[in-house]
Amino acid sequence: MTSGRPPRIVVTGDSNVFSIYGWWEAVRRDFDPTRVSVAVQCFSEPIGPSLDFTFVSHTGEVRMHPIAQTEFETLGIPVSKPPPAQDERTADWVLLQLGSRICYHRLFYRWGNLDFVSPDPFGEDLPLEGQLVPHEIVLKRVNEDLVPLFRGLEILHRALGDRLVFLPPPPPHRENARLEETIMRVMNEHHTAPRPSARLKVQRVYHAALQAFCDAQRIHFHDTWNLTCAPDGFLDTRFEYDGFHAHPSCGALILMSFYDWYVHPSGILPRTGINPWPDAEGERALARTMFGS
Amino acid sequence: MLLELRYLRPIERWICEVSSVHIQVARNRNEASVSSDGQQGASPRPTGTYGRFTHAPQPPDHAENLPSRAMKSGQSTFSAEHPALRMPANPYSDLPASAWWHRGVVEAGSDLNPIVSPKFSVDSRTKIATCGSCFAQHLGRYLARGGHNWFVTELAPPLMTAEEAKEYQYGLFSARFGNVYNTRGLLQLLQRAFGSWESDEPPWETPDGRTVDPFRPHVQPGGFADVQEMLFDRSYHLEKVRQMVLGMEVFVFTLGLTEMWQRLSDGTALPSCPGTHFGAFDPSIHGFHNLTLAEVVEDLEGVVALLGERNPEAKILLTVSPVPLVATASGGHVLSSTTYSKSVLRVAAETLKARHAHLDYLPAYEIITGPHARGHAFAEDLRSVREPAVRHVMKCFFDAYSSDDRAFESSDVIMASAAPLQQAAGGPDVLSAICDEDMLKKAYGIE
Repeated sequence: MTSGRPPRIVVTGDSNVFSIYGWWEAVRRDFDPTRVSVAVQCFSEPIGPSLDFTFVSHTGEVRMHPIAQTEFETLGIPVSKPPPAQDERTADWVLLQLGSRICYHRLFYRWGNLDFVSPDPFGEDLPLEGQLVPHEIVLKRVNEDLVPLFRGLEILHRALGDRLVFLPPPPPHRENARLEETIMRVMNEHHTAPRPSARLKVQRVYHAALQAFCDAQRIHFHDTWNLTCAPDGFLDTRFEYDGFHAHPSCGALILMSFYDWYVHPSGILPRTGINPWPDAEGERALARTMFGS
Repeated sequence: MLLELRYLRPIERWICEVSSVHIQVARNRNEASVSSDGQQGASPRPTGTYGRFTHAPQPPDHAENLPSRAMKSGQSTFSAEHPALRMPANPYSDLPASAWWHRGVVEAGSDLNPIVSPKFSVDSRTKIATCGSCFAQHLGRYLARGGHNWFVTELAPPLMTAEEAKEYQYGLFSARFGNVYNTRGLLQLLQRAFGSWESDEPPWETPDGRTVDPFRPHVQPGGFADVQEMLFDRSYHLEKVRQMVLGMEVFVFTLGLTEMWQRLSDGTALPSCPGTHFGAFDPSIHGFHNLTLAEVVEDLEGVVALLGERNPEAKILLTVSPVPLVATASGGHVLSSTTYSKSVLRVAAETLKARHAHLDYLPAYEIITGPHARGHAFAEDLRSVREPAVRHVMKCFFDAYSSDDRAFESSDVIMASAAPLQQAAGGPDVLSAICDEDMLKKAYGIE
């Protein structure tokens, strides 16, 4: 609670916010609005025209952000000026989920038949295929890709301070077929997806780079990878959705774990060992316990 | 003054005796006249036969064949009748200009091209693979720039920038071999690629625990992350070597050295001495070996046989690197050791050329090191080859081997700016090449 009112949580970002949005829209009427207020806004096409905040992460272009508008203008970054969103101005927490588009842009356009030896625990047992790239080179490219996002995060962090929470992209799906369909739909182009093992390893590099940046900038990094992945590192099959985005149950886990860890620590969701995530009924019961109804 | 035969070398004396040539040489050797109309080689000449030669005898090239003592003593003017008019048929009377030192070398100047009878031709579509010592790096680059089809099977990953690709030794040769300095290394590389031979040499370690491929110690800056990465990368590389062998139409190999370090137990040829940069030197495990002529020839025969088995249509072009040794471990002087190395390699190349119709020799070594270059083809360190000199080698190659009009045009574009070889001394451009051998200098702080 904040000043006698329920904590206001704004969740925003790219299309992966769909999982949180989808779950929250389905269940929010069950909860006591005096205990929590969650507003989910996305700018990605699958979600709809809720474009309160548009941060084109893969180009670094900021189209509009009411909270940080002044800062953007000070830095000479042109922004449009729609009315500031009430939720964002008064939010206690702004959960920002970005990065998937950058990661997959690299993968689909430039990765090809490459592979690399990953020092990451999730990649060390994966078989090698194709042509090797030194890990150092992958790391350099990933950090170059993330420069615009880092720049935007710095700006947002200055504007939002400790209220900013970064949500990294969820683990990748294990299969390629549905992913290619999704990518065709989203990008309106046909692409053959890189091997799943390469997708996993590259995404772990992005994940580590994002975490390192957030740690260095003292930005909250809400890391739910370990909670949402199967033992082999891919997205738990129960959280698979369309080959690319996570299922609303994954959104439930992300949102509830955030609430439990940051907003109202209760120990209901410890940071490790909470798998297996309950079924739909158990999930609702857990949410009722947490948010009250 | 008549030429005194006692001053001549046997071959020159033989020429004079057979031809009854009385050579008249002007006091100024460059003004020597041998024909009635004062034009060298332009006068009417009797014809005749000598053995298999049907010829119109030409005047012998003269000034350079004079005994040095006679020249020095001012006895360089001899009264003589015109020699060509009196010359009976002989093997020398129908020789082209390229067979005579003065006309073929001295007078040729910057137009010198010692490639007389190329055995095959290439065009812009011919898949030309390159491999060998650091000098071979220039060949591929110029092939590509000259509009030819430099056949590269191991390309840099698209994630790499051009600078990184070079650092990781992509784009230097047709595959990521690193430098293959000697014939033993080439033979073993091909044998390893096709699974007919395996080496006992284990991976090397860097001081900070990373892994080095002993066959390509410098292709991965800082080494590989671990043995798994190195072995996988080597496997990928050998697959690309196989693709190169199976797909190429011409294989250009530059012979670099005869000196090598080897694993004593199985004769593994190593491109660098363990312990000089990576790895550890143990005299009970590794030893020095200086390949003999017989060994080089045998290695090359092995290469020819293997390539013939896998790709019978492929032509082979051997060159000898003009770059001297950076150091010798033979116990001799580095100059003498360099001469030995290059001599052996040159003779081996000639031997193979004589034996195989599909194998030819590109005289890059002669073009760079011949007296006509007056040493100017080398940079101040007397090892690095200046760019104009390399351009000249490639001009010779294109002129002699390329049958493609477009390629000729492209090569002309390259050569249009090429300074004459004699002007190379002032050339600002020393070609950069990545040489494993140079790591020896760095290891000992010699720059």
